[in-house]
Amino acid sequence: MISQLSPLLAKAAVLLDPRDLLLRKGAWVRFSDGWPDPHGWAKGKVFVVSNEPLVVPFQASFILPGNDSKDVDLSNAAGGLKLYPTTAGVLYQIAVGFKPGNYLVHIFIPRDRHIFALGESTMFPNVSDPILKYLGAKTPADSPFGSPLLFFYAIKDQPAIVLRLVVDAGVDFEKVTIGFQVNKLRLQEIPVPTAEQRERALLIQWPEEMTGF
Amino acid sequence: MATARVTANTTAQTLFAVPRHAKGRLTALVVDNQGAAPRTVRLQDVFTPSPSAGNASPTQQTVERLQVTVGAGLTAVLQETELRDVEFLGEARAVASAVDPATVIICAYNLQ
Repeated sequence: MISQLSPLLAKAAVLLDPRDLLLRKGAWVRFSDGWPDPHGWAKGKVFVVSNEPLVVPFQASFILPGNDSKDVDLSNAAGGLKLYPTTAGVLYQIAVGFKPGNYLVHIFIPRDRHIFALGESTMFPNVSDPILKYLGAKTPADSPFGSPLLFFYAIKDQPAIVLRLVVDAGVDFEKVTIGFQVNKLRLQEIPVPTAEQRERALLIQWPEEMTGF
Repeated sequence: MATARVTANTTAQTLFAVPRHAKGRLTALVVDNQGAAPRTVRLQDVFTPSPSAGNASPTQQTVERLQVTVGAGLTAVLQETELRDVEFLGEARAVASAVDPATVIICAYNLQ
């Protein structure tokens, strides 16, 4: 048996309750009603995490020229990093941190849908636009490599989470290094959740619910 | 911290290779030219970029990161403050203006 806590807790524990960052045994998770039928095992249901954190570290690096970009797919698709679970009833909590550098990170779920857009129709991230390429972009300071603050949640066959790495103009080349801490969680359904469980559970939304407003 | 030592050569001499998930930073560079003529030393960064939106099939790149010319019988010493923005993404190599075993290049570096 292996029981392990993420190294990020060493720095975060001073200011934050570690349970706020890493799901642990006994944590509640609720999937919104917006999940489509292919994910019926999860849609609208409340679960309890049934195992202690089992954290798998992983890294990926890319050397990119200035004023250029690259899409990094976290899913199990061909060419993806294959960080998704392969069975129902399993949730991967993926902490993502970035080493310092002159680059931006845009987030798409799936590849053609940007999550961090604003309501006005022209205000969406656009890496080829000198102004809009900064809209919704994360920087290494937003989620440092050693103490990641950005988390993704993945279940089997959900839409691809895509990180679009954009190296800013003004540098010849940049090495983008991403650190992943994949927290593997088994979920046990709570057939009749209490109001408190539904209210306090971590809500995992279908990507479309996070956009359009 | 690690160090590397090579002597002046017109063929690129490897100082150190940067691991896949790190960058290399020099903390000191010493070029000790005890030869009979001035020598110019160039530090190169050799790597192959990843495929990107702008270039699906990138080729190996050699980027010059630093150049130092040292007179005969002299020693050039660059400290961390002068080197702090010099990064290596791939393999750090030194190329000199002549083959000369009397010209020694030593660097101290770390991998972050």
